[in-house]
Amino acid sequence: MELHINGKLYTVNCDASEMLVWVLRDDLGLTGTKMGCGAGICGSCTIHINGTPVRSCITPASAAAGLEITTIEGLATILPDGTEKLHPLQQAFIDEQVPQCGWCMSGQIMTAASFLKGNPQPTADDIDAALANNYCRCGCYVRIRTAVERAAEALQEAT
Amino acid sequence: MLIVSLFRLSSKNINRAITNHHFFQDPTMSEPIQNNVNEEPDFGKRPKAKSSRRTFLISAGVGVLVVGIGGKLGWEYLRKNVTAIAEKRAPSAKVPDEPFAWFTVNADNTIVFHVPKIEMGQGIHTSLAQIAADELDADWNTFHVVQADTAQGFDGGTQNTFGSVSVAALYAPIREASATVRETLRQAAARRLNTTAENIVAKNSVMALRTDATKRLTYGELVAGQQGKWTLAKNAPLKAAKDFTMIGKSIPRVDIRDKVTGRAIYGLDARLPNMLYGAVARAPRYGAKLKSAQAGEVATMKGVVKVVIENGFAGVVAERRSIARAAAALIQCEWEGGVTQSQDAFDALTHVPDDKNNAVAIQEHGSVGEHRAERDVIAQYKTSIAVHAHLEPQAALADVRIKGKIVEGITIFASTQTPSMVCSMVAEALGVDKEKIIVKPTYSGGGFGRRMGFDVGVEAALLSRAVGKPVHVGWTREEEMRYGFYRPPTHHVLRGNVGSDGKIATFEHEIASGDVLLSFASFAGGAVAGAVADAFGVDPGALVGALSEYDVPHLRVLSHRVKLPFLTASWRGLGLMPNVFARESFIDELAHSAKKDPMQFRLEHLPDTELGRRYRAALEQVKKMSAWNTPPEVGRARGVAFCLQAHTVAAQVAEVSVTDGRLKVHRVWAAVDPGMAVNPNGAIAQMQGAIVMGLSSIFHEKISFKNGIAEAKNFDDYPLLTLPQVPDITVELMTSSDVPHGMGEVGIGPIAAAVGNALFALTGKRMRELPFALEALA
Repeated sequence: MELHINGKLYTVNCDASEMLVWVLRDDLGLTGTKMGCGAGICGSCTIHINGTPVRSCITPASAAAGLEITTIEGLATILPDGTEKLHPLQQAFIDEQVPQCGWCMSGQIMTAASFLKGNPQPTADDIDAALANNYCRCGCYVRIRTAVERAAEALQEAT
Repeated sequence: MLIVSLFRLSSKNINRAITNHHFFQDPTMSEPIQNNVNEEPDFGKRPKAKSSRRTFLISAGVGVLVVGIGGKLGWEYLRKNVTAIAEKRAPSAKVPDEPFAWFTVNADNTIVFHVPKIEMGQGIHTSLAQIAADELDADWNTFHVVQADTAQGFDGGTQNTFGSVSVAALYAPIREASATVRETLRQAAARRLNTTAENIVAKNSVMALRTDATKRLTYGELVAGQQGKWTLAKNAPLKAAKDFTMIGKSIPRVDIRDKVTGRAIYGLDARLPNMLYGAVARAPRYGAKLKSAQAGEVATMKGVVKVVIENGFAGVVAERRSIARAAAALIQCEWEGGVTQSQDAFDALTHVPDDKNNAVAIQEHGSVGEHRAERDVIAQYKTSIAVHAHLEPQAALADVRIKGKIVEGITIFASTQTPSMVCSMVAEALGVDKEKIIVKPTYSGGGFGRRMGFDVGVEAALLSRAVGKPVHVGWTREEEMRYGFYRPPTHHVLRGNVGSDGKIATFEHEIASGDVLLSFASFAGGAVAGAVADAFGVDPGALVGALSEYDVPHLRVLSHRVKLPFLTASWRGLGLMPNVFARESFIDELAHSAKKDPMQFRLEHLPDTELGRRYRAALEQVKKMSAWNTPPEVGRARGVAFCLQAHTVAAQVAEVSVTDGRLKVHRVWAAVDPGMAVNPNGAIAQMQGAIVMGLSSIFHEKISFKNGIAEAKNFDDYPLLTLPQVPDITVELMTSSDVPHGMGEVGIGPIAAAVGNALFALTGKRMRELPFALEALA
């Protein structure tokens, strides 16, 4: 099957039932997408399919064939001079020094990126609700909240 | 004169590490598809650096186990007199004779700092690098932090990462090693510039003439200009604190950019060319042994490379992870033994017994027996079995290279807290000399005590040996819930009374806990080690946080060891959370029995010692932060608790409300005295995270067994705290020393009691179990 990931075309030879998270990670080496539970609960594996956040651990790869898949590796922009311009959320997570172990962070950022597109001026409660199904075992939640607020402001200023 | 070959010039591997900015010795990927941890396995090419036996005092052994509760003490001392332990300092490690174990200085003036400790989220790579770069007067922009593997030359236990001791134990050794390198370079610069060392100024990886800064040599130039033997500077002076440029500053973490871009490599991410995937057959009951296994049709399943059945182990190597897992589940296995009981049996075992004959008094003065009274307050507290729930499952990639039938070498990439334990266990399981094994620790997606040695590295190595190719094993969440080890359940009986003078007259705390540290000996060490563990009678891990901080004339803390048929072991803070939850809730009960303000009551019972003064300062600070004397808004109440762990004092106040029977924690204030903080923002992050993890235990976390196996398979049965339940958390750091203490665990101590005490103040209902019986609020 053909998968469009981060603007590139990949051809994958696997069963249609293979979960997308393992195709990304094991077949394609895109290990930025993490796996925490395999049951769609913890959110570590969150990616975008056509801009919508999806749990890749319970999404068969075949369901994403032909659609636009974005993973954490594709969130930043590579400028013409080759430098990497981070997404405002990635920058905010650095500025607020959010991650500890970091395993959940791809999922947190991908979930928040989609959320901020639909709700560019969120309240604190909006943020809490949007990220209510993303676990962080290290307990970086206070900083996640602040970083998402910060990224929302940065996105507002940019527009 | 001590002469060693000090610097190894850049190798290809190091250059690659630098390209990646930091971390892996042999890292990965600019293009994701080439995400190989090690394009060319370098086993055998790199001479194993030897460091002297004097390198570190901190190594695997009994002394280390005791560090958790405070000092380098023997078992006998522990059994007889634990009262003073809390005031002892962690043992200091000695500087290696060979600083090159720590640094590689390259001709281009980049410096690689080989960091022995594992980064599992606690920020240790950054903190240790700050210490090194500061004392070395290195340029931070060209200072690269690389995870050391087991061939780097750090003695056995030095790399093991646990117990909030990393910074405390390595602060002096790293400074001494760095200062030695700095002064050695200064002397070399003096020779090259025809002057004396006093006339050379070190700054940003450059040695320059004090009177003419244009006469300068970079550290790289100095090293490149003198190959071979170096004479180390002796008695290199350490910087004065006023001259620190990095220590004590909130330097941004070195690992964070890679963690928000998906580039950071963990055990589950480790990849090698031609690798295969493995999975292991699991028993239906915890601890059941494999009696027999038949591969049957599994051997011919499409995608299965090999079914491996040997010595009580049955697993599958396959081309895909999904195939390996499906096939492993289909192996016809016959199991014997193992746990059969259900939770009620373990609840009954976890009980302070009436019979005190096997109890060990770990703290005792005065005579509680003679001062019991009619008015005694008696209460029982309990904590549940729990899992670690680190979000990255156990994972290891093993590359066993075989020639003929001989194992030539083994490389293991793993997210582990104990690389040397992985090395020993793989050596034993495969019957291979440890010298042939290199363990390359990756980033760990959380640890919390669960990545101590064990299982997955051995599983990957057995499977890799069977096929002669690299094999990756990553556990599922179900395996994590059911086949690892657990936080032990505890039961506490507390009894005490307050005299007519308003002072606590007697305080007794009896603790019954499953094993925390002895379990490793009992389960993993075989019958002899188990018997030795039995002889100790008391598990120092279970007693972290057990000593009472209060000045009470008649006081006794008794320990009862509970032997459970499943493995319970280290979990963040070890005994800290259960013991402090019980004591600090009970102190609150005594305060209310005496009709005293709980904050004031605590302040009136602190000892007049250095520690007592630190407790007082932290409590006064959190009292001020939380405006304790100003009542909260209507419908809310506050509670306070504090503790000591790894020499750090943490005092917390929680503010709660209950609406429609639902508990909400609105605010937590924390005053923390870690001596001094190497990275204040990192220390604050640890306090925030530990509070959240403790709150998760209050709200949710409980494992129960049914017919010998944990009932929970995944997070639907074992939810964790999420963002909407997280309060605002305000942390203030205090300084009381010129050396840093531990920060990784202390914050998990007081939070349950702080919230429980607030709930009592609000509702009159006392929470005496973890997780809280929140349905009682409805």
